[in-house]
Amino acid sequence: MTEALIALLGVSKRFGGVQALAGVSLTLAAGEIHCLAGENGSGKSTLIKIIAGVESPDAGEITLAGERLSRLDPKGAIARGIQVIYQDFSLFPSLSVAENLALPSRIAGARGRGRRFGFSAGESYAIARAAIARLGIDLPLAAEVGTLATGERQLVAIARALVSAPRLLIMDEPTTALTGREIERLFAVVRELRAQGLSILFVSHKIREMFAISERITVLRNGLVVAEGEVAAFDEASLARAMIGEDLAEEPYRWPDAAPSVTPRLVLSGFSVPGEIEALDLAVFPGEIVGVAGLLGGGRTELALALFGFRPHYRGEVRLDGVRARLSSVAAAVAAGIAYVPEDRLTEGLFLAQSIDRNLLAASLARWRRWLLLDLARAEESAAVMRAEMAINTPDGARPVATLSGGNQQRVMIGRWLLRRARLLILNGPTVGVDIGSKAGLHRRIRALAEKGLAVLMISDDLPELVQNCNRVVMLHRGRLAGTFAAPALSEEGLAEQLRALV
Amino acid sequence: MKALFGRSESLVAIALLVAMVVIGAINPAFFGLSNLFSLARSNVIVGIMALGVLTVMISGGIDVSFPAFAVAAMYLTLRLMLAADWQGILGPFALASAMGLAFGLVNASLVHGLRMIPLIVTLGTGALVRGALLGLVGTSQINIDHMPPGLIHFGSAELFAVRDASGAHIGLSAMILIYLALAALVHLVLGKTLLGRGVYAYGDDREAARRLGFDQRRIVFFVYGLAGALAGFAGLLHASMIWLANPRDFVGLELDVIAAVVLGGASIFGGRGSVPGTMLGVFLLVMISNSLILMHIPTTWQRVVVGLIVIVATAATSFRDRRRAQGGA
Repeated sequence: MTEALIALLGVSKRFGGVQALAGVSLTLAAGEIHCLAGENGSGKSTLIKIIAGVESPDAGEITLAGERLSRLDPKGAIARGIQVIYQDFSLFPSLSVAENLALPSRIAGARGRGRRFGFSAGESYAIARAAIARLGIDLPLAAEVGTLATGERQLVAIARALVSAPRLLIMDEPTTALTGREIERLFAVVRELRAQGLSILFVSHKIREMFAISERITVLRNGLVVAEGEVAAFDEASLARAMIGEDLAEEPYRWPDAAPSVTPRLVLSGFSVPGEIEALDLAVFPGEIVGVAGLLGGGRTELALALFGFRPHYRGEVRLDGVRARLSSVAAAVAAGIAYVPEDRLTEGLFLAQSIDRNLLAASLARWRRWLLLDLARAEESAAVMRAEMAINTPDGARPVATLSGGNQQRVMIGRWLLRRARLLILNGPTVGVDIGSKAGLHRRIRALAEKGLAVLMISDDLPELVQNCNRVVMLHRGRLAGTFAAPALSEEGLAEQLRALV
Repeated sequence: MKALFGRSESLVAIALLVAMVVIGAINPAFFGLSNLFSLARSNVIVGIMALGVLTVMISGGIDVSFPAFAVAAMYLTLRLMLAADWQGILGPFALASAMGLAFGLVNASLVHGLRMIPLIVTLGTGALVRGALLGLVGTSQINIDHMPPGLIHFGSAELFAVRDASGAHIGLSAMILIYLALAALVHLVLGKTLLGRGVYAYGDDREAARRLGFDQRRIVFFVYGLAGALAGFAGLLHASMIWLANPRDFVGLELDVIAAVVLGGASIFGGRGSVPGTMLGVFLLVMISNSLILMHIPTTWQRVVVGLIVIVATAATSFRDRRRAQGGA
């Protein structure tokens, strides 16, 4: 191994009662792409913040290019060539691209070589031009960052990190907001930077990405390093086991065919939404988990929104348990027993600052009404039962829902609708942003609900997720049914092939 | 998007011109030299205070304590001058500014150190300072016959004067030079220094600014300190200009000043705002509320006008920001 660029030795950090890191050691060579793997809550973010100097460790030491440090501050870390690209990019939306690119290096510069207070536009343009030239891209330097698209913003964030000629670039889950093609471009940029001699610490919980990009992997779990080595020493199963600490059982969902006499939970006949869905016929039985696949904009999300009452001007017939329903508003859809868990639960579903219990009860308050008042004791009891049933990992229901992990937040969303006695559950991207351990748990939970008679529509981009959990997958394309795949014949390859055939 | 920035300022400028034409049409006396000079003079105090409030608002904070700081710095300085028989100009202004600065730094340490919400902090410190001033120092006005003559002389300085047809004296107060100089200074600091750009960055995204290594404490202490110092300075200047020091002065002025800053295009959420925009906002607000008499509207309606301006200006800026956000994603 070449000389270490940065070495952490026995770094520990405590937040209140939580031991976020317990004696973590990590070594990164110059010009290496190193993957820091771990589930949410494993301590990855804390470790990044310590390397970036945003948090200081309680114990341990950091050796940076031969210099021993007991702690860093953000300026000191930047001055020593460490740059972090955070998941949210940490850009300033009201400032121009040029200023966003130039500010950080000027802050770092304001410390060492003679403090200067002035800051001119011409200077920032010069710095910015040099930075984007190094990436080989073009960006509108005068534009305000708030007006750029997500992919462009990430390029700004990367270019900004390069301004100060860093030696170590830390990327915190950089692929979360990107499309497949943008991920490819990002990987190409990362390899190019490595070729220029940078070390890259790539933080992720997506197993396939780690194998695609990294040379070495360090796995964190509960604040401890549980595995470390060359990427060749791992395979997908062993990496997953290291991350979650147990084997993942992967058995597909089987649904015993319903007796012919059973009334379907949902029947759509000639269901159309102008410009979005055309003459769709579909039946979903109680106990079924029906996957909905297809390209973005092909009618998947549109179908979910129409069923949840967002498209009051649909045509055709909708029957729930044999009864004709008129889905003219969200309230009408909810009253008919339909529940929808959107993809972006953070902005579209949860009251983040409110407690877990309040979030659970938000849709079903009418159930606890006694005359003019709410029977809060009974409501809380039901919330506690639901917390146990959904196996939401929290000591009590009074904590803000924002303190939960992605998987547990998703359970709160589903639990909320179960309390409302939903009969048809529509999930859109149920495990987007959920790490693999809780993903498996969430899948088990959804299956258990279906086995008890809930009908589930699962919209997802994640083909393995569909294949493992659905007894049937329908593919939508340009608002029409483009194919149906039922359980024994259901395979990832078959779905992928059909998806490629679309376009 | 520099063009958009320019446009939100030119929008205020257009509104200003339209208002001038309308007021002038209703009463041609508006364009009289004496009215215009008096308008310019009325900009000075509100304008200087607005510069501080602008800086605080760009950083994402708010300050409602500055009128109390202004009156306290003014009244304490004058009482001291009278008690010690101190005749000076630079010294007293430095003292008043320093007192304002000290009050502002108290705001800053509460906001930064205890992570308190700026609105609540400044409501509290403002009430505290005003109450303590009246309770501990006194409630009596200092009238012209007791005011230090040096200050009166200074506050009455004029750039030039003319005589109108009836021979009455019409002068342009030299105090507008002080206002313009301070505005230029704040403009320079906000636009051309690292500290100033840091104020914008901090108001835009506090966490991101922290991660980049901006010194947050320096930014918070700078914005509230500046607002306090400018308020203290403006307080004493006000007394020098009206030859009177009333410890109950400036009540409710925070609304006018914040209205003017918002009118000038600053965002209450931070990250946006400019000195030229604020100066236009101040001018528009002062002009409208001072011209009610000219328009034959009873001055009792002045608060209604200010309230309307706050709501319309805030609606316009939030509309602008929403449009911008949609243009993005």
